[in-house]
Amino acid sequence: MSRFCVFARLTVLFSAMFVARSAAGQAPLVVRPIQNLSFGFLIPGVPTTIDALQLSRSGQIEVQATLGAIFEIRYTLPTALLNGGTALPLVFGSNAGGASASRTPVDVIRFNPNVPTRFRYATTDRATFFLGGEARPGVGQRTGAYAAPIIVTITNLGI
Amino acid sequence: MHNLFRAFASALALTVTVNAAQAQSASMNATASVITPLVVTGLAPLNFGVVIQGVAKTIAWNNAASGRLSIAGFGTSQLALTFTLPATLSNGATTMPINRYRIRGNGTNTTAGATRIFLTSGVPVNRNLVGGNLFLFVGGRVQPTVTQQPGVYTASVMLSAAYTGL
Repeated sequence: MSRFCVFARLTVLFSAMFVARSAAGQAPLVVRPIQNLSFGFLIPGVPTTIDALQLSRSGQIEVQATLGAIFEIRYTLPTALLNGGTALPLVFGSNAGGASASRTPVDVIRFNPNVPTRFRYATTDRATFFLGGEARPGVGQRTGAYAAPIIVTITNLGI
Repeated sequence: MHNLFRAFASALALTVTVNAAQAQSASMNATASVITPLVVTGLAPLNFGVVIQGVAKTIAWNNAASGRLSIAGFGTSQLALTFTLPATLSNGATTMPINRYRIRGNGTNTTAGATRIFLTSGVPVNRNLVGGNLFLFVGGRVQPTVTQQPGVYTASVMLSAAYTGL
């Protein structure tokens, strides 16, 4: 139920920004990774939040699809970054996702990356999807480099 | 608004009728580096000792009486260093000018091999740690007037350091 509510809201927002047009045919989705979600340097005990629109650090992919396409984006999000057997907790808030046709904050639509979210390309054939998050190193967090994969699955639902 | 609603209803119909939806996956990483907090320590004051009225006195950065600070942190990380350098020393309401600061930095607590840091008070300047350390040597000049009131004059040199993320 909540998923449909999100869909309705996003459809309205996209349509409000881009005048809806009809389109025929269905081209394949093209998904391009752009950059990792990078928290940079963290100090033990000090949580750090990267906003989706922090362009130099947020995780980003570009999705190209047919005009009018409806698709679902689903993130498989890690609960922790890892350094060997050491974990560093991660949290993704309900506002940690962002979508923009222009790659700027001007037309960004926020969404919750923890649940599958549907989008419709009303007047564009591509958009960038941003992902922020919060890293919560413990007070005694071991120094070193931490990483974890994020899988993004885009399902084309047609036009 | 009506059109928007229609679009929504149509999309829902598609959702339940599409049998073999096309899906693609992409991956990216979330990354972070946990580093040690910075620790800034004042090791020695910039000590001009006894000065004579009307006679300027300079303490070079490599003089034993120069001011010394240490910063301990992570590896070779870049730091933004901001010095707040006083323009006067004070003795109650009486002041004595201090200027011509000279600051050098080194990865070890020795003046040999230290390199100059060009800075303006209050303006950050970047410098890298060397093996997790940076030692700073501070020299300067005081200019007592010919009628300078005798007494002990002091002021604080403030240093703030922050990781730049590089």
